[in-house]
Amino acid sequence: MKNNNINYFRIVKILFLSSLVGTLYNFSSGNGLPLIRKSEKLIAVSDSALFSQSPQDSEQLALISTEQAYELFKSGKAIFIDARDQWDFAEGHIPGAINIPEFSFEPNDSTANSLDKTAQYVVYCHGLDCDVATRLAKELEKLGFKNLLIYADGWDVWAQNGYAAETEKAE
Amino acid sequence: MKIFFSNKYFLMTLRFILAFVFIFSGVEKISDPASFSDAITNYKLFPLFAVNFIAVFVPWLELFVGALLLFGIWIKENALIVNALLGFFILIIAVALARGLDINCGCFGTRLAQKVGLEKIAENILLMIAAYILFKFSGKNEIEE
Repeated sequence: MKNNNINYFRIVKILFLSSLVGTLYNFSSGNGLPLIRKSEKLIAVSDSALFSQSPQDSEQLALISTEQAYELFKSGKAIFIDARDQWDFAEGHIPGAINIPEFSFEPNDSTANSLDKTAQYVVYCHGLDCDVATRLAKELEKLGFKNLLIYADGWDVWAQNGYAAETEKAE
Repeated sequence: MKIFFSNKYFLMTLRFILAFVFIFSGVEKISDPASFSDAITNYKLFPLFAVNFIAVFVPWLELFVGALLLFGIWIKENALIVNALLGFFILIIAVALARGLDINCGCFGTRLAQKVGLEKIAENILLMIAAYILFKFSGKNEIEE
């Protein structure tokens, strides 16, 4: 007769040992991770740099505030990219924004590749606790986009401020 | 039926299959923890602070469980862990599918770019059946027997 009893202490041992070895290996190996993952900090861009007559190609992704985003929107200097999914986009978005959902993004994305990579873009998602705008911007950067800004406050704050909005016409 | 399932060679085959799958997936993830961490983040299920710990811990758990199964040590306990892991994988893949996420599953690391999908769930169910048979019919410890 075979014994069907489980020795739970063994399970604890296996769990403990693998987390211990994993952590130790993580610290000793060259490509280890910090044990607590932090969202990356982006640097806010100053008004003078943003609205100067000869905008420099930014070396890294820069954050813009709601006011800056609104200025860019009014002046029509920048093209807005909405990184949320098509349903959120359809419910309301910044007028003229292009929807490139981050979750289904592929490097061969036809919308992204049809855009002028040297133009100025503002990427946003719904708000501060979403990271799809930053992630999409990084992907776009890899595709060769030169001038990407992240509007971190995103759609929620935009809508709260009562700025212009557009909803998708029924298809 | 019981006699068939209790067959030593049948159980050994199942054990080797599970061991291979888990060792392989563990090693693939250990070799590139950063991409695995990104893959976990894509599921949008775990708090950001926990993601890296999962990325460090789960691959080693898979490797340990795979190695112990390979050598036939603590088979029942390991089969139980395997089932818990697979059940958990099925759950998060199902949630990702239900939310319409089109993401790399990260199942065998990210070098093998496999999308989440029903095939992954089917694959995990087959492995779960294997682990269940192993749990039910194998002796406590082949080396001790």
